[in-house]
Amino acid sequence: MHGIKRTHLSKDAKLRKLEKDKVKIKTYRSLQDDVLDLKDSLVFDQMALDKTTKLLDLNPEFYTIWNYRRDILINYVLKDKSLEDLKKIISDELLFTMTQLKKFPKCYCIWNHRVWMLSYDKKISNWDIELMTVSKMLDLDSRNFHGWHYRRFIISSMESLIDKDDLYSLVLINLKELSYTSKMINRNISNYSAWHNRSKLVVKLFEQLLNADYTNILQRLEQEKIQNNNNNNIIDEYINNFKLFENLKNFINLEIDLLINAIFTDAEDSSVWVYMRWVLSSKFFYDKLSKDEYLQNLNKMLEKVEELNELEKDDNNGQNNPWCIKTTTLIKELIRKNSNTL
Amino acid sequence: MAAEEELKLAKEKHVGYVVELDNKRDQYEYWLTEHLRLNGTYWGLMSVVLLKTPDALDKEGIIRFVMECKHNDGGFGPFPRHDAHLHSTLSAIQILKILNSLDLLTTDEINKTVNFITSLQLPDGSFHGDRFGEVDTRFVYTAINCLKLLDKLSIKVIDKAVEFISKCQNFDGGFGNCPGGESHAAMIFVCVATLAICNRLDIIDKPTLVQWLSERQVTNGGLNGRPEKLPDVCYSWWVLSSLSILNEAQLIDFEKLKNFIYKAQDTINGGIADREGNEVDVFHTYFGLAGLSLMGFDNLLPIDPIYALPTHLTTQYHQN
Ligand SMILES: [Zn+2]
Repeated sequence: MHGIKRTHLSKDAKLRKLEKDKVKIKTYRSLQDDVLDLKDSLVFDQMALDKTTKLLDLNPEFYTIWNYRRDILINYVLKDKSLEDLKKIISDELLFTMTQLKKFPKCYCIWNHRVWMLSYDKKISNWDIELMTVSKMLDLDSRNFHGWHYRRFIISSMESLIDKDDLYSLVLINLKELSYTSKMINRNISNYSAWHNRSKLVVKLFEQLLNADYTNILQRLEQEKIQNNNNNNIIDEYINNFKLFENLKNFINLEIDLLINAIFTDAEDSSVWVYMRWVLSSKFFYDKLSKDEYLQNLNKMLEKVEELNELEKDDNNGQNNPWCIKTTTLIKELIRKNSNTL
Repeated sequence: MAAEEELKLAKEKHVGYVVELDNKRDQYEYWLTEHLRLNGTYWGLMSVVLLKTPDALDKEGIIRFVMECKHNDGGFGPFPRHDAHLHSTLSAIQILKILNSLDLLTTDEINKTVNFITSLQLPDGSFHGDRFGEVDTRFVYTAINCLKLLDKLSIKVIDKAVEFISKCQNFDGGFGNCPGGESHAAMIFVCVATLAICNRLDIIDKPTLVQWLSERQVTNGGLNGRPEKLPDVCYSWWVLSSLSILNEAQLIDFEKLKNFIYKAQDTINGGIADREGNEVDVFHTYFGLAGLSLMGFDNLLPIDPIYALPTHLTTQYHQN
């Protein structure tokens, strides 16, 4: 149990609860026995499906019943159906899980069922709607582990439907994700989940574009902008982000400016400092720089972090900011290591 | 609230709490949690074992219940008539190991259990939790730990599993629930412990991971599972066991963490909650005690950070 306040009931309240529980237990157990009997007899029909709905409403964690529900769907509900019928069934199932997720946003079983249903035939699922749905859920709880996981599942499903040679569409999906992730970071700089997603997207986009025809992709992005008069701003953002990947040095410089901006916005927030450690010390980045460029970046950051610590000391009766101290030590160590091996 | 120096572990209360767990059939919650009963039995059993009162629970009754949860295919469900799952299968094997009763399973039964587990491994090395289940690093740990306890862990299974885990590594040195997933202390524990069982800790970016783990302790002494989240008693286990496996547990302030766990106790009815003032449950009771045991407090039985079993049952795995 997480986050439930402890209460010590009075004797009377306890008795009243037990009285109520008696009724609930009776209903629950008889429904449960009923469904498990149907399951054991391999009954796959509408009545059985409806009973699983009822039982899962009472207890969404009962994964055995979710399994049975999927058996019913496979062996009866989805069997020999027209495309239109399939779409309707899938959308009903998604609606059912959405009602449940509103009550239990952290229940693995519900998210799992949704993933299963959408994977049943990835070609007929409406992924754009899913993306909108999960964005709404992340608006409510921007750190929901399940939500972000689900979001990456949607993206990889969309990618799996794209022709392998169609690099443009692949890149566009991830440029959109990068913009979404930036939006989440700008909204709340301490959203570690968004920083994490950024780390994945940066590497992924870089790898996708390693052998790409930049000019061609850029032209298609420009065409998209013309076709999409209403959405010029967002496409401009994709284009700008895309251009960064043509030369990773520019990207790193901007990343460093972004980080400096972030630590001066909130010097206590750990997300930014952890991300900074990665940008400063990961081979992925420094491999793309000459030794001089790398040392320049390190020195620039060192200066800023030390400057920030002075400001922090002024604000906090001479107390150092521990993140500044830790990062200063790290940067000095990196500078030492890289100056030695000239 | 009691002053800091008066805080202590309410041992007898916790034993009483665990013993009473099975006498709550008149409460609705008892029936809603059947899907965790075998796991809960392991958490409860480990709690009284760590408290050095293993006889507080009815050994014969527990073994009977474990056997009732066994399916013909060798897997165990969390409760009779519930589907077999890797998680409950590990609990079953751990319970039998603790009660020195693994020999109750015949060679044929053990082979079936091994088949049940290995048949859930996918070509990329990951494991499904059950026949419809999600893919998750948690199930790699349950599978590998279980095979090790049954003495049936093969190189083929290891190599694939390690390959999968290496894909779940992140920029912060941590591990997520699948490739691309955000680092989370519980997922880090399952990955680090799996790698330890497989003798493959070398694939970890140790300095980066250790630093991230050591930053999980917050001002009130508790540990959180991800940056900028609230502390929670169960992370006393997930974070501390990972650091212990990496020989870096000393980076955590033990005194402060101990007090955080003490404050989460229900000193009237026993049990430990996720944090001070919240409702207790057997999961947090166990993980609170496991954390205290790892830190060497309260004369608890020492626990093995890799296998989540008393150390006297795992010495054979640490020779070489
Ligand atoms: Zn917890």
